[in-house]
Parts: sequence; structure tokens; C-alpha cells
Amino acid sequence: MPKDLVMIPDKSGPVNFNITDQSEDTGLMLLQRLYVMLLSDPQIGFRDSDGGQTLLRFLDGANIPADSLMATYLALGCSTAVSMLDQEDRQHIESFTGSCTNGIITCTLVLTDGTTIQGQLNNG
Amino acid sequence: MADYIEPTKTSFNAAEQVAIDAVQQTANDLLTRTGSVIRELIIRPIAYLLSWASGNVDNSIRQYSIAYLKTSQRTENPVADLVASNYFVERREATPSKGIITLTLSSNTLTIAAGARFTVAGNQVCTTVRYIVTDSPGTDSDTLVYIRAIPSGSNYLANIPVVAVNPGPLELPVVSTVNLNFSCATFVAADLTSPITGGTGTETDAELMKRAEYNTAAAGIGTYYGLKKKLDKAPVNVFGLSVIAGEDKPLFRARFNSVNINPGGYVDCHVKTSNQAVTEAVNVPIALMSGSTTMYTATIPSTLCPGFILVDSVIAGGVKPAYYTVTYGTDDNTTNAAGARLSDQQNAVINFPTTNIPEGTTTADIYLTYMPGVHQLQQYMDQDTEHFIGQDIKVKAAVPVALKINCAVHCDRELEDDEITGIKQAIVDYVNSMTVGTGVINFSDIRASVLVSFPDVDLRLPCVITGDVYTTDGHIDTLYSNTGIFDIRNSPNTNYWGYQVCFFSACVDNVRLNVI
Repeated sequence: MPKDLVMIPDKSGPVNFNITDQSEDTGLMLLQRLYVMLLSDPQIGFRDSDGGQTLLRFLDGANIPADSLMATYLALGCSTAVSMLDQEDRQHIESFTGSCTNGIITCTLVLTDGTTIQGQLNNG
Repeated sequence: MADYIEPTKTSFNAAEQVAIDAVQQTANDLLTRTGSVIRELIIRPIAYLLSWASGNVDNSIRQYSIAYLKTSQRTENPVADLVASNYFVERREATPSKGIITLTLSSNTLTIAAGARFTVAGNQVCTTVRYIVTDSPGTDSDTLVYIRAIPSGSNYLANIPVVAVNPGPLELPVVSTVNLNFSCATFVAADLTSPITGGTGTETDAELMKRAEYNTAAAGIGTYYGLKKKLDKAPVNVFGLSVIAGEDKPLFRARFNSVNINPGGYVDCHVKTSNQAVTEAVNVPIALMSGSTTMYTATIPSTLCPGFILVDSVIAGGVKPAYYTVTYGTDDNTTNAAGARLSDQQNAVINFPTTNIPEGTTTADIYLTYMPGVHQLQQYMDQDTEHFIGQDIKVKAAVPVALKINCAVHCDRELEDDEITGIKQAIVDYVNSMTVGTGVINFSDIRASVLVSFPDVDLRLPCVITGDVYTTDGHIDTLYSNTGIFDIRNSPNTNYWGYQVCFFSACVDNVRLNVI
């Protein structure tokens, strides 16, 4: 099974990273790749998307909006994030959804084999 | 430096695949999928650099090619300058157009300061030296020029040379409105008597490459390219030329011998030094014709206005005679008048009736239409360093055919006034860039030329083109075409100048667009 490097931000800051570990490509790693896509700009960098919206564009320079508005943003962002993945990854995904409560985003990835993985994003 | 371009998605994807393959060859268990750390932080940046570099190398190669630069209308491009320097050619800077404004004054004296401004059809022109209008001109200097006041009825005329304030290819016809931007108590009227013309814009990449091409073309002596290359270094700007040699019909002087056969070595070079013909007034003495009391005669020596095309008008004692006749002659006894016509060895005798001309009038002001610089170019060609041994090269004026163009224009959106002017300018630029001796102008070519600058603008028929064609004896005929094709090559009138020595000329005021 292929391995990816795990890079965790050492401090607050956009470029200061340390490589801390490596991990097998599990469902959790796939969720992390979806997070990367969720926070990437689909308009630049030659992404294989149709130019949909991601969470980055909604959150850029702003506070997290109201939960009801975030629900719409997350629906669009999750859909775009899946479309930006490689076909090999997309074929394992049954659904990828997000919800927001009190500023904490919970993403739920359901794989075709029935596995459900949940993760949280917050403004730390 | 060349302009940078961003990679295309196709080239980025190809480079990304190369980088993925390279990573997987080294460590095939590393995850390279979209969103993985290696893909996002290593492969994608490398793919961008790879595709950027290869795309820009290809682009630079293209931008350094003469074929590409010949399509570029840019006037600032270090790449084109570098390419041109390989052929010992440098970009020419813009030069201003020049013309003559005739002031009608109630008095015969006036001083005009250097830099005095006039507005001609909305464009600023000015004097470059101080002019003093007077009855008795003194000696000119670099900063002071005397202009003779010409009596005209109860007023006086003064011909003031002016230049455009801004350098560039400004073309204004003689019908343009003239206003003074300074006070003048004796002012009655102002007219443009010689068109504002002769200015050039900063040379475009395409023009620069064309000159580079001349420097590499086979430049045989007495050929188009040979003369073009030589005249490129002449003190007068030559916009275009036509070479008449060998058995060409207009080469009259070569057949001026007892057997009427061209012995070889004769070349006539008709030069276009201005997009429009220029008008100048010369003052010459008049006298009663020998044995006549009713006709005056005046001689225009070859040095006064070398190679003039025709006599525009005559004023003697403030009066225009009822008619005048012009007989062209030559200073050169090796040829006849036809052979010397349009060259700096052409002279002319003008006869006109004495009727209404005040008694005691001793001079006449004669307005001549001509192409500037014929004499200077002949002198240049006669220098030992420039002269082709064994060839007799005569510099002559090329003859303009001033066009008026009226056509329809369509655009899916509303056209702004600036755009209409721009379209007219594009038409004028096309007409004025045509080679001397082309002989035919086609609406479809005008349309294609405009499309380059205005891709969403469609010129449409009907297109009416009228052209003022000069006759060899100094008259003007107006020809008309409503087919979109204006052709002067097969004229039934043998008195017209051969199309080989003619060029088409246009200015914005003579282009009319009907928006449909």
C-alpha cells in the first residue's frame, strides 16, 4: 500500500512545516486529501475541476459565517473537493458531506465499502 | 526580453505526469495522488516550473523569428530591436507631419512667433521659427524666415509653413478648417493650402523587419531592392518607390535617340516621400509674350520646385487669370520634356492672358503641387559613393491618386466615436501602406486589414471609391467605382500617368462609414 508523508504545521504560519511521520493510505488519509481539496482554490493551479467553489473561497479573509449559510457553502465545497480528486480516489467514495455547528465543521466521508469516517475542522 | 506566458493546462498535465513518473521510479510506494503531500508540495510546483520553462522557451523561439515579428504592430519591442540589429537596422523614431497654412491678411506686415499654434481640423500644428510677413523680405537665418506678402484683391496672402505638434502619421487634406490660437489684428481668413502630411509613426516591428529584409534581399544595381536599400540611408524619408527600367513604357528618356531604342543603363526611380502631394507657392517674374500684348509668360526654372506634378493655380497682381497653359520643358539636352517630367531637370513655361491683371505687375505667384525631396534625393544618388557605375538613375516624383472611400460598417454592439475614427484610421493606414505601382485597390483587402485591429467589426458593401487621377499634362480627372474594386491599370485615357508610377493616398477626412 502506498505511503504519504504526514506534515503537521509546527507553528501558526503558512509555510513552516515539519515532516513528522508517514502513514499508509487509509480512509483517514483520503479524508485528509479531501480536506486539502476543500481548502484549495479550484480556479488556479490547473486543477481538474470545472471551476466549482471550495471552502477556501468562502472563508478567505472572513469570519466563519452563520451555520445555516455554512451548510450551503459546505455542500458546494464538498462536491467540488470530490470532483478535484483523482479518479482512483473518487471511485471509493460513496458520499462526502459537511455540517457546521457553532463554528466547528464536521466532515463525514462514507466509502463504498460502508466505512464511515468523520473529522472536524475548526479555527483552532 | 520576451514576454512571458503562462503554461497551458495540457502542458502542465504533461509535465505533472513526467514528475509523477520520476517520483515513482525512485520510490514507488510514495502516494502521488491529488491532495497527497508529495503531489501538492513537490510534484505540482515542479510541474509548473517545467511547463513554464518549456512553454516560454518555445514562445521565445517564436518571438525571435522574423515571420512572427512581421505580423507585430508593436512600436516598443526589445526582441525586434535585437533581431533587427543582426541586419544592421535600427528602429526609426516618429517624425511630425508638415504643411502650409495660407493666411489672408488685411495688411502686408505680420510677425508670427516661433511656436505659434494653429488648430487644423482639431489637431495642433505650430511654426518652428519666427516668421515675418513683409513686402520686402530680408535675409533668412536659422531662427527667422521672411515670408513675402502676396497681394490678393484688397488683401494679402502669406504662406506659413507649419509642423504638427505631436510626431506621428497625421494626414489632413486641404479642405480642413484652420483656426488661429493667437491674436492677429489683420487676420481675415486662414486656409490649409498644402496638406499636413509626411509624418511617420515610430516604426512598427513589421516595418522594421521589412527593412531588415531589404538588407538581406538580393540587391542588384538598379533594381527595386537595390534602390530601396540605397535610399533607406538618404537624407529624405522615402516611404515607397517604383523602379522603371529596361523596356518599361514610361521610360521615355531612354528612347530619346535617333533609333528610338533603349540602349540600356537608364533607370527612373519614382519616389513617394509623402502620403499626399504637397503644395507650394513660388514667385516668378512675368513678361509679355514676344510679339503679343495680350498674353503674359512666366518660366518656372527646374530649381524652384523640382519635379512638380502640376500647376495648381496662378495669381498675378492679386488676380487669378481666366486660364493658363503650361508647357513642360527640360534643362537636360539628352532627353525631351517627357523624359525630364517629374525630375529635378523639369522646367515649365506658363502663359496666361493679361485680362484684368493690373498694369505694371511684374511677378506672379504660382501654386505648384509636388512631391518633396526629389532634388535632394537626386543629389544623394549622384554622389560618387552612391552612384551605380554605368547606370543613369533619375529620381522622379511618384504620383498620388487621392482616394475618397465610402462604405458600410456593421458591429453587433454600438460603436463609439473613437472606434469609428480608429476604423477610418485603419483604412487610411492600409491605403497609405500600399506599394507604389500597385494599380488596384480591393475592398476585400481593406476589410481584412481592418479585421486585424477590430476583430468584431465587419466592413460591408456597398463601397464607393473615387480617386483623383492626374494627367501627364497637369490636370485632374476624378474616377469612380461602386464595385469595391478601384483599378487604374487599364485606363482608356492614355493621358493618365502609368499606374507603375502612381500610389494610392487617403486621409481620415476622406473616409465615410455608414453604420448599419
